[in-house]
Amino acid sequence: MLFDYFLISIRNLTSRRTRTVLTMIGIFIGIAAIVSLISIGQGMRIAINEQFNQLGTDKLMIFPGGESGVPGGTFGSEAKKLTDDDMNVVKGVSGIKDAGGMAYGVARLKYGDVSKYAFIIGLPLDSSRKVIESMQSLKVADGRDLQENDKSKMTVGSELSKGTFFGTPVMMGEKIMVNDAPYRVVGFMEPVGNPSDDSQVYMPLEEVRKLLNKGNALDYIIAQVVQDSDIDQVKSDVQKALRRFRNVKQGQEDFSVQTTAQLMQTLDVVLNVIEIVFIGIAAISLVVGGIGIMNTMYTSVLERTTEIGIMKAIGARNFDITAIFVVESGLLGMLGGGIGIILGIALSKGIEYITSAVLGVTYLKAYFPLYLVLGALGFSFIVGCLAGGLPALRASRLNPVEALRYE
Amino acid sequence: MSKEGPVIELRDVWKIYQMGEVTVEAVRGISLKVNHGEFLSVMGPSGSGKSTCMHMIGCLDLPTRGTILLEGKDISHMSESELAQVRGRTIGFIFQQFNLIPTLTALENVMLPMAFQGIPLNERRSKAFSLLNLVGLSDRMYHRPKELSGGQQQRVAIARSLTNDPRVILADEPTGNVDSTTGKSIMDYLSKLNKEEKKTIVMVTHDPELAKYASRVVNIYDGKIKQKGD
Ligand SMILES: Nc1ncnc2c1ncn2[C@@H]1O[C@H](COP(=O)(O)OP(=O)(O)O)[C@@H](O)[C@H]1O
Ligand SMILES: [Mg+2]
Repeated sequence: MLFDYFLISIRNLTSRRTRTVLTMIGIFIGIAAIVSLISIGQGMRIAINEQFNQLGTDKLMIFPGGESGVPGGTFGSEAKKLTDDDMNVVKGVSGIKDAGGMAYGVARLKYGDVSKYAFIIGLPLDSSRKVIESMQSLKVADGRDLQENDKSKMTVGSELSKGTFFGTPVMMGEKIMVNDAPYRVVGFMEPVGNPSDDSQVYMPLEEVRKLLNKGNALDYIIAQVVQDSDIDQVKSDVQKALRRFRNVKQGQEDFSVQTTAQLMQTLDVVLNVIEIVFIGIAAISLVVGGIGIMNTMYTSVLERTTEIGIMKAIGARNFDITAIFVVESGLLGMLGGGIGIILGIALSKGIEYITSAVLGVTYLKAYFPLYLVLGALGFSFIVGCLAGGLPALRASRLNPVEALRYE
Repeated sequence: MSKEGPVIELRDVWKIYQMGEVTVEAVRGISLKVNHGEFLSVMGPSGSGKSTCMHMIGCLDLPTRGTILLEGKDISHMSESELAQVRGRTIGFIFQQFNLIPTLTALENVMLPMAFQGIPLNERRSKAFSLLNLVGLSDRMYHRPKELSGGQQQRVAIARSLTNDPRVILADEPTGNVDSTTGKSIMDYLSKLNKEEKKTIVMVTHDPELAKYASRVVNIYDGKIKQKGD
């Protein structure tokens, strides 16, 4: 029986192709929007999760500036900065395994005749370096990493070694002038995936501090907690210790301590809000598409009044008539949804391509889980069925004699 | 299924249409019995209420007043879906306008009534094949109605009316839209069904020539049966 509902519907849809296609447009725009937004959103989540997995859940991040301030970017006075002393306080808290700090800033780089500004990152070269390195995936692609006792040495991001930064590729062993001081390139880093991160250079912490006149300041501190300890407890112990050391009252902290979980939650909330807003917009277009289907189905019921009369005369129950029209509008929705899915996949692949080719961000990968494809198909079928419900009910309630007399 | 008693019985049946201020008494107290195996021809001028009678006999409409018994069962107490069952199983309709589904092929049109009875697909196909064969359309199975002549369409409709082995065939001016030669061949089919398959046939016509095929003629005038000598 279901087969026949489908047969009648398909015959009908294909015999009115123009209208079928026009009606489907309403649905496939909405579905395309939803599919591309979700696949990009999921891709973003996956990229962020990978980042955090690499970071691990056993890290505390300590930034200068209060909770409300932008981490690391405050206009803090000297007193508000984090220093080696703060780091030592953190290291002294029980439950902290190790801590490391880093300093960074903008400096003028000169290679050959070309001068450009770039971020210089100061990395600790002692044991605490491991803690810092978990923050960013710093892997050497060629040459070697910075080592303890390195002086006037640097490793450079892939934009420099590729040649996109200076216009000519930086050669291993050559010198780059940083604020007029010469540094020898000993290693090329692997690309992180976005051009701004890949244009950074890495130097010993002490030398960056000297170049940027930072004294013993640190731009942030990362601490690793002892395995299996209660990270929230350790976090509040660190806060307590830093409050005492910096002589501030609770609630007026001029620093903030965050766990990776917290950071992840914050990002998750932001992503959720963005997704909900966009999907809301897409949903509105789906509603409009649904109304389009409803309109088409009402027209179809009117046009096929005689047909409905005939089917009743040869034994169709009201239920059969309802089902025929609901299946037809459901199919209309699902066909639209199918095209929408293909369009949506193309759209998000396009976005993925543009972000990598034009913006150079390679870690944004559109993600198409099976549930998204099936869900979108099912959802568009349901939208179609709902939109067809009222017209189908009207069709089924037609008086057969009047339907047969209808001209 | 008793073969005793009338297959169709109308007892003082009235059909009154209310159209705003105007009341139309389409059928005004018709009583009629049709026995098993009869070929009844209903004659009368246009607007006399013939089609309205056919619709009520065929369970497409209920009388305003009076009783209709199909195989002894009063149809006015049946639910919508029971009426649909009766239409699907006991009655085969043939219309003046052929009334095939335009988007379906001849074969699919013939298969459709069986679909509403939940008959499996392969059974439906073979039945439809043999019925289309019977009406001489085995080479037109996959044609749409608009690709067929009027006579061919009506033959498809005859095949369709037979699919569920109905006891009663209701034909409302079956030759009204075809030329006289085709009309004659359609009448031959109906006559054959009556004689060989023992189908009870009620046919509306206003052509006295065609009425000759019937075993009995009833004349309707102004919603009433005109008795001999009236
Ligand atoms: N659904 C209806 N609403 C109003 N009047 C109707 C309806 N059906 C039939 N009639 C009227 O009832 C009368 C009988 O119609 P009908 O049974 O079709 O006649 P016939 O088939 O004998 O030509 C006509 O006057 C017709 O206009
Ligand atoms: Mg008529």
